[in-house]
Amino acid sequence: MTEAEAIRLAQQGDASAFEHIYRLHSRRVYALCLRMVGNPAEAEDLTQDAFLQLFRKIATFRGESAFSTWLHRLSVNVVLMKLRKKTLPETSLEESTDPEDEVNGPRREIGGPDLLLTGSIDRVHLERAIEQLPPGYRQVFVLHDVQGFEHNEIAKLMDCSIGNSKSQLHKARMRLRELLQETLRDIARQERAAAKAGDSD
Amino acid sequence: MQCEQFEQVLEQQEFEELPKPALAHLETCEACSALFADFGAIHSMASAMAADPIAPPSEHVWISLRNQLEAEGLIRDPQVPVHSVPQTSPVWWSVFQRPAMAGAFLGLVLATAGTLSYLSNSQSTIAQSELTPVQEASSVLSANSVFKEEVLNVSDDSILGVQRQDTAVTDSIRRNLQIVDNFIAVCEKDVREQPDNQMAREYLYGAYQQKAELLATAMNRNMTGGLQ
Repeated sequence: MTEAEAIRLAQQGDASAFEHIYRLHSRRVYALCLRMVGNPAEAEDLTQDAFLQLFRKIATFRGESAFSTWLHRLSVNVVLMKLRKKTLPETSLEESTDPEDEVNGPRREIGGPDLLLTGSIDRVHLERAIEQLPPGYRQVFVLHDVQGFEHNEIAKLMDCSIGNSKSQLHKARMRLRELLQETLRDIARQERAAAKAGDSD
Repeated sequence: MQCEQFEQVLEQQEFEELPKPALAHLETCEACSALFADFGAIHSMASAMAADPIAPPSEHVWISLRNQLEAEGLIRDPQVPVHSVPQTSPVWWSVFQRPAMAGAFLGLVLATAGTLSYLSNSQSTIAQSELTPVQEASSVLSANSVFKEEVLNVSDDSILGVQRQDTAVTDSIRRNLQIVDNFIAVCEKDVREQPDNQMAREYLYGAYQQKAELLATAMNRNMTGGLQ
């Protein structure tokens, strides 16, 4: 069954078409939700919500845009809506841009010693670092750098200014850099310890 | 351009849109050059992540979603499975790859078995009324926690007893037991593979109960038949 066939059948209420569409897109939607919220259980709830909304609205899909793009935007909206409702103080952009609240924010390290990340980090390290980002940073970073949204789109989605979106992204990247450099230092330390242990044997 | 100014530019502009003074600063400043390179590395790895999704959501997401769709009347035909099954498996087996569908089907099977049992028993009302305590005992057996070993041990004896009475009903019960056994095997596999999956455990427990109920029906018929 092609996606177009599945969509047409789902619009008629065909059960197998619903499942086909779900199987086709659930991994990607779940990945988006998980990266946005950083919690597997919550991400599963959001995935379910996103597909529920999709199937409720599928009869209105006319194919003007790609189905996956439509689903993608819908999923992002579901996640952001849920986050706004549930953890408004925690995810508020205003809060995380408050200069008084920079405990988890990036520290300026210009001129400091650097470990070049190119070629040294892998996806697992980056995934872990993203999980450690404060929610406001994480959402903008995932939307921009992972999902490819533009700042003006993020501003609309998150109901903030374009400048705010840019600022959040910059801080997120700075914090990620810091986290990844810590990871690299840990790895180097472990390697040194292992080499030392090997020499003493 | 100073480093702080460069950072401000980097915040406002996309990588490919950096103005000439910022690019010139990059040529001369090692720290900002490293920062720019790291941002680029993070960005390209993050972009690649979107096309490489992580593990799928657990199966209960689809089960709950499907239940919700059914409840809202959005699904027209809840019994048709979508998964393709291996060529070696019979077509009907694909139903049991999906616990929700298997559960629904088993419910139907049990209802049918119950109806058959009722129709058969109604022919001997007097004997049935004398056997009420036995039936109650069977109900208690199935309602309580029925352990797998207990359930499995009694199956053959019960079926042999029923076999003497009514071939159609016996065949039906035997078929249903086979279906329940297959379902139990699927559930056990799920529980082994996902020990933390509460839903899988509930399905397995439900399957044991359904088997216990079927066997209780078979034993009941066995005893009733003996009195006829």
